[in-house]
Amino acid sequence: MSGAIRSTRRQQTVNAWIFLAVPLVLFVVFLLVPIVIALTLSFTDYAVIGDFDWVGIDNYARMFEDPIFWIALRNTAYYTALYVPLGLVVALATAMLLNRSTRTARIFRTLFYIPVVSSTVATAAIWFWLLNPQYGLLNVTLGWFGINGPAWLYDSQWAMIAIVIMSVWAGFGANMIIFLAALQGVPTELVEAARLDGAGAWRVLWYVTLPAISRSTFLILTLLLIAAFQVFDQAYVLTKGGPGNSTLTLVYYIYDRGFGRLEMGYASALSFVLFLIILVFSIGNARATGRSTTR
Amino acid sequence: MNSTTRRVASIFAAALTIGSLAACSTGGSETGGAEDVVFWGSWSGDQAKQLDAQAAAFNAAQDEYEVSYVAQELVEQKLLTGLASGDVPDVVLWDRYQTSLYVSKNALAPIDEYLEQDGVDVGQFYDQAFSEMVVDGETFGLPLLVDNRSLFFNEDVLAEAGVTPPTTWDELRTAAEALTLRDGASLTRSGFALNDPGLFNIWIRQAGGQMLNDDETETAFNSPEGLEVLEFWQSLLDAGVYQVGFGEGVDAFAEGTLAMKYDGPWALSGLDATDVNYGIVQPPAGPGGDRASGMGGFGLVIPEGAKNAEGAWEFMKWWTTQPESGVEFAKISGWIPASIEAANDPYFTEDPRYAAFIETMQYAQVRPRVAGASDVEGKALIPALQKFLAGEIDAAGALAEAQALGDQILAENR
Amino acid sequence: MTTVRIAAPAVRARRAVVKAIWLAAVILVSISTVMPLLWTLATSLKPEGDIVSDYLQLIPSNPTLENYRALFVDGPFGRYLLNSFVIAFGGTITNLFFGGLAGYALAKLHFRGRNFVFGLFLGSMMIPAIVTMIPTFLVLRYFPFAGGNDLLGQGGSGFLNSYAAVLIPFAAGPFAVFFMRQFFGSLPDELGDAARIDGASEFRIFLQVYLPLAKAGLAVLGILTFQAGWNSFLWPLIVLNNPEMLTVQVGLSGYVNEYQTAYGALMAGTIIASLPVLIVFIFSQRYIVQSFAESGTK
Repeated sequence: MSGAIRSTRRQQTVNAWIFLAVPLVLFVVFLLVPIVIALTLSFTDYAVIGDFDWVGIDNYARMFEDPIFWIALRNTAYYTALYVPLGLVVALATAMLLNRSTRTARIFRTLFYIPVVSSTVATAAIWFWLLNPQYGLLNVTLGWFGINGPAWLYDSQWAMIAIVIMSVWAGFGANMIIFLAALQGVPTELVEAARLDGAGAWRVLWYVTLPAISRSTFLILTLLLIAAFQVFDQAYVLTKGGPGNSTLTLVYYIYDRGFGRLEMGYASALSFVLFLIILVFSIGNARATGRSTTR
Repeated sequence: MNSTTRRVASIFAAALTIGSLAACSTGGSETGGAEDVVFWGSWSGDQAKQLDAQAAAFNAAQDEYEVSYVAQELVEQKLLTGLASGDVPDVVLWDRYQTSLYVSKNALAPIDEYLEQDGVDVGQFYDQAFSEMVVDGETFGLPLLVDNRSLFFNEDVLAEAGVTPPTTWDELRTAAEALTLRDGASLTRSGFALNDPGLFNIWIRQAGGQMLNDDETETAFNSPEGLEVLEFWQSLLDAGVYQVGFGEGVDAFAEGTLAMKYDGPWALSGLDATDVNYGIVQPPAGPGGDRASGMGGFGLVIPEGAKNAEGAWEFMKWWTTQPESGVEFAKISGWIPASIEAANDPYFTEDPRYAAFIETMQYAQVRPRVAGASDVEGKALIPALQKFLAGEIDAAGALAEAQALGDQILAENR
Repeated sequence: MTTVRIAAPAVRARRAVVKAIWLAAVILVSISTVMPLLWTLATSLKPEGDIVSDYLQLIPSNPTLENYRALFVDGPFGRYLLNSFVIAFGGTITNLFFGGLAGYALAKLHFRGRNFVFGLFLGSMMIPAIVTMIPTFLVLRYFPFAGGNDLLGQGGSGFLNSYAAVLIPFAAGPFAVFFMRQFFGSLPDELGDAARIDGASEFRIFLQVYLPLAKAGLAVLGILTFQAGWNSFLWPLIVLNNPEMLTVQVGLSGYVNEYQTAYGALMAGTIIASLPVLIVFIFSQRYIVQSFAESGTK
């Protein structure tokens, strides 16, 4: 009997490594090697072209004195604090709204998913008009309720909020379907049992549904965090970091230094600091959702 | 174990097949006879066709070289990766302002030899434009197209209000106020657009001030002249002439909801397609009578390691030093050539659309190129001015903030 | 056993109210998601002049197909569509298969180093893509024996300017592995254990026991991967030089430049570019939400 278990164990190990082979090889060649190269470059003044020298930790030291780095960090933190909770709640709420197999639900699911299919360029063009202070749909609609809408993309207090709204709109469909897939795994017997016991919708949600989809919640929170810290496209296409530097995010700054000023060494250093920040938050996320990343 | 090995083999076979199939790239085209000259630029769509036409004209004019244009989105980045991989074009059309940055990384080839060998007189180009191509005494390309900002006005609207095009700041303010229309609290027609704080560098010179100090080590815009500019802007805003965000995303000028604005020759072809009657005059003079404008534009450069530098040079020479080529291109595209002789061709001076631009070209200046200058404008000054225009901080505060950050940036870059 | 309940009138009334609220909420959200698309469609059908002057109109007064025609005449838009399709579809197939396999291994097989490998993949997702762009570019360029290179990677152009440059680095990405691992993790272990005792090979267990249960997860991963491939912009731009090989997004961005945006063509292109992803989504939807009867057996 133990011989059978041992050979099963060995079989599993061998098979596991074979199954993992292709992704691992790709990981090493196209992720690990470039990451190591980038880390090395962060200690130089590499500019892609021309000669470059070793500068030790100069790039990292410079970062702490760099006021624009701190502006970018603050903006990115602000965006994350708004975007992650909002994105999570909207995705879960819409998934729960449409968790039926009726044809109506299916149609609405497609309709909810539509923003996801359009590219950043197109979404940005559309929202640029929606947010126009004078004629944009948003302010016109607010006007019907007697509210004088702000100048959105031209007001440094509101520009980032506008980008959060746009990002949630553009992305919730994708997370919604992940939650939908997870909601299929909620044991209906438990839900019915809880209802029979007199539990209200809220208690069912908190004690039955949420625990059952906790793996997906962790997945989506991780994805949202990683995406939020790397926000770039919208800032690049819509506001170019303005107005008043209010939408200058970390990745935008990295891109600006690396490709705009040819300071690749510094850009690499900035990227690694960003990576550490994301890592810290992800570990925090893992602890908070009550399971370690390794279960 | 056998089935596992087979599984492994088939997985890797699949991977390899996909990989090798995918590695088939489309082959390049080959032309016999004339040598190929690869020409890159960021112009796409209709503008790419204009460049194709110009290249065709060159190809027809001689049979040693054949230039082909390839549109590259983000041409500076493509050049970067091209240099990193050893696959560079022969000649590039790009924003002259980028030249000094790339020269400092040895990305471009100096052309002094060619200039001497062919006896090219660099005095034929606008001084300011040419200076952008020179770094530490060496020349790295030739200016090709120039532009500046002049004052566009809607002839019909001005005539209706009985206003003549302004020539000074005070006249500008009076005219703008007379041309503004409001419907209750909302703006229906703006007299003058204050939408681009980046033009501050033009305004401050009109006021008699400057952006940086003489040795370019510190900012100099936090000065009485700088304040004068912002106070003037504030007076326009207080009079209700303009509102932040007004007319963005649409062509308000073409629609008639904007009476006057600063703009460049690139706007001409678009405006001609609409039915607005517009006129162009030189920018108004400042309180002290100073005139100023900003010059920008494109140049042609040859990257280091270009395979056909000779062909690139012949193309450059043909286009920039022969006035007819410059004028012909303007007929296709609307852009003003950088050669003074070409720009003063009757085609431009007798055309009411260009006349003002050519006059302005005489005193238009390019932006400072000292290391960090673009960051001073982009990261320190413009953001502060944006907040000022939105009413979040006052003039003195904006300039002080910009100065603090700007000086820091310049110090870091020295 | 399903319970048949005869609802009291009060309960029925409440249910009707709930249903009404549900409908209202759903319709409200749909308006916000669909409206921009309708507006895009309308703009794409308007002639150049009308786009600016009547831009708020949802029904064009002079509809025209000119913008669509211009798309295919101005540039090789058909070719761009083909390129995007090859990249998106190829990437989806490889990610579904290899990602599924690897995710399964991490979720269901026991071996030393399992947690470490998972941590590796998870951690790699946190590296901002922008920092590895140039190094990855260099790896592709100097890859030995590719595209005319010799052993040391000199001489040719490596994988650049070919579909390989876009497909290979992302063929089995950490997201696919991570996602499928989470998904397989929620399926019970007993099924596999039972099959193991019956003597089935690991691959068979994967293929015949667990994979069929993962339809919902695979459908979602398929949609997301196809879309990521379809919408990719910056990477193809960097590694593909030949304009004939560029993708739809790069083609669309050519209509937005510093001086003027060709809204008509841009919107027309956006409509066409959005269709394939939408079709993939509609097709895969039915695998995602199964009826209540089926899911009760999990």
